[in-house]
Amino acid sequence: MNSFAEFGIEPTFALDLNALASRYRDLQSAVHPDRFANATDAEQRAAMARAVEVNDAYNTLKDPVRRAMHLLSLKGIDALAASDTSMPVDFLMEQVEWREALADARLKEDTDRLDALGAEIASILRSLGDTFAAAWRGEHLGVATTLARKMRFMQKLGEEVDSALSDLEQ
Amino acid sequence: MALLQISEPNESPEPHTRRLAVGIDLGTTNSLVATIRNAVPECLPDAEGRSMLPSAVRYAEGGAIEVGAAALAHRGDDALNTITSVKRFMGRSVADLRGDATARYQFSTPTGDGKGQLKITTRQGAMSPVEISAEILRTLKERAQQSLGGPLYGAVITVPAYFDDAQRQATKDAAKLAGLNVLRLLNEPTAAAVAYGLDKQAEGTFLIYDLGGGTFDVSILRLSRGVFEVLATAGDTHLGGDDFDAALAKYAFDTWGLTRALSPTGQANLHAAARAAKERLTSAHTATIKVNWGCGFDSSLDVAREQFTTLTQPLVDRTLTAVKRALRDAKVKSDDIDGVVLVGGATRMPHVRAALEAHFGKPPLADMNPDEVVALGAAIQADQLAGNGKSGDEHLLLDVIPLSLGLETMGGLVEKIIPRNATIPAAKAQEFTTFKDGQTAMALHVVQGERELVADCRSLARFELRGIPPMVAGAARIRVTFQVDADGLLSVSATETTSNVRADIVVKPSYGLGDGEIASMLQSAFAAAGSDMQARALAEARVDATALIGALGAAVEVDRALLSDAEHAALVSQIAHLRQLADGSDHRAIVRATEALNMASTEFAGRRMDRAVREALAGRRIDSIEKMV
Repeated sequence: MNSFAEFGIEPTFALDLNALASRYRDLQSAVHPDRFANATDAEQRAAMARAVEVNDAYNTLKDPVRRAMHLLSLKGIDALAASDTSMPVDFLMEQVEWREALADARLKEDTDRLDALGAEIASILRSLGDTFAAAWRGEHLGVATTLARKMRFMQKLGEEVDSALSDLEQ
Repeated sequence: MALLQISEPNESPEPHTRRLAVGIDLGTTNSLVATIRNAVPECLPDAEGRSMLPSAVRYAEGGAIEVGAAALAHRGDDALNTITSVKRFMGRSVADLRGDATARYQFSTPTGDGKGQLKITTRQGAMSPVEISAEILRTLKERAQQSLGGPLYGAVITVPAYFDDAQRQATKDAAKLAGLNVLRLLNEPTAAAVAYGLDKQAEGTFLIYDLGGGTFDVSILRLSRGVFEVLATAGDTHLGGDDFDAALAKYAFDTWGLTRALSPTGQANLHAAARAAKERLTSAHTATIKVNWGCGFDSSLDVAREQFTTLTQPLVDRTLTAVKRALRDAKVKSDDIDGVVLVGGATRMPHVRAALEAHFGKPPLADMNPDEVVALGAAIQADQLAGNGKSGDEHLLLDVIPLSLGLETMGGLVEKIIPRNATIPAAKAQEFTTFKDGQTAMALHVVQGERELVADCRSLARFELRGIPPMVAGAARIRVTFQVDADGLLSVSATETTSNVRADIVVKPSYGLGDGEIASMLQSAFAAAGSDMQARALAEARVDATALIGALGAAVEVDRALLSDAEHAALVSQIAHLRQLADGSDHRAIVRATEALNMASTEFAGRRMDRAVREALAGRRIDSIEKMV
């Protein structure tokens, strides 16, 4: 399924998220089951199925990493395919350093450090996204695939920072 | 199932007749019912002018059941038969209650292993929380019908946003048992946001802080042009005003040097005294906890507000932990919040407000009555779902599920299928495979929660997929589909895709009542009322058929262009056939024909939905979504 088509837009990485959110609300306003509360069962089921599709497509489009993966999948590339996950050595070394910093901050219960790590990761994720957008526009699909994988690594790292913060707040 | 639209047989409902619909806030401490009158939502009072119905039920001697203030009056002298805060026990087992200071009843469990839905022992027998809650709902339903002068079409019932599937299902069961047609289970903070947002014409990002009698919720919503989009929710279904009372009661108990465990009556009296002191401390700087133990013996203790604050600050801090998690999940910062809306009576406590002001750097919004705002929002939603809204000023709620849903995999680990804070309705399919050669059955265990181990999550249901053709390990493809509807309720189906062996369940067996149990309870209720099940079945079948004839008949003409001549003729003739049957008295034939017509119109419904999507994409002029670079 093409989530971009669902939203009536051309496949592209650089999206205005506010406009996307606005279109999401328009689409849900048209298909949400609440709009069909007094309609026939068949229409309620159809509305439910459509609302689920719109939610799915929105989840894919609003998240930069999923959006990048989805763009590649439209070109027949599975960026997460297990058969091809080799990453540049320097990137992997950086990952090791990130993980050490995360483990250290978690051990010391240093929430300020964790917050700072989260902000750094978010900023790197944004610049990876910008580079991905350029690679996508230039149709450098190999480069784009590596970038999408890097983005996924960074996003996972960010999720771990969040969960470390959650654990410390309990 | 349309239950309550029982007008005259053969008479189609007028399209523009207002349907009587209410919103019900089924609270831990108090419950309310509200409706829309003259375009304004309002709470409906009882004969004495009180809107709030204490959520108390007493099973009195001689078979009488008292609800509300009449029941609460006996909390001291008939403590074991007067049930308060029953909401805390919804969808819960005896094993869940460990360490709950408010659990002062005698509990039993039908399964004997402490894991099934608990029951409370009263002099009228063991009562499930579902039955007890149904008494409260029935009282509110009668109040509404008297006040509005007719039978209700349906109700929106609110639940804490952080309620899990078992607790939601139990609430829906209670409403069915009370004879209510449930239009929607609505999350309490979302209901409050609707009432607040529509009243104040608010736009922006709002945080709803809902500290009720027994539950705490925080939801972050984006309000934009009539759409209420929940970004994230977090909470604690066992944290509320009751816990502040309990902390104060414990302090008094310890200060007085009491050592012996209190009798149920003593406990109830101490709790009531602590609650009264807590409420006084909202405006006064000191309050006295005074308990008369009987036999001329009493105790009293002065408490300063600062002391109360110190005692209960850990509870307030727990709410702030949930606030921080919700902010992180919503990916917004404290500074992005345009307003913090207070909901629930417990938000009157000054140190709660101070903590929020300190965190957000601005005072919380307290210009709606925190006791009523949830019921008012539910009434607004009920009115819309009943079809009473004017087209054009409809609003839309996009809510989320509070806790991740998953399946048990090897080694007692959880595989998450739908993550928390996913917008509903949601559906997701995942494929699993067999573990051993020749395996013909697979046990699926559905759980809800955030932890990685099954043992730490709530078990929702177990079911088995049998009849898988024997294959080598790893060859079978078992596709498990999770679907969460707009009530936040889950259903699961599993299919072996190479052979099409299928198993469907609506998740409820481990908790709540079985459909059979509900049916038998309803049946006995009807028997007592002298009603004729046969006549009722026919009336229901006719209501459903008439509704379908009306809705589809109109759609077929309006969207004639979406049908070929042959398709149009087929639908028209099937509608005529159903109309004919509906005049007869064979309810099974009516039900069958209704289902058949629904099936036959599926394709047409899909086309109408496609058209709606095309219009939405073409309709409103918006700036290009593709960012200019």
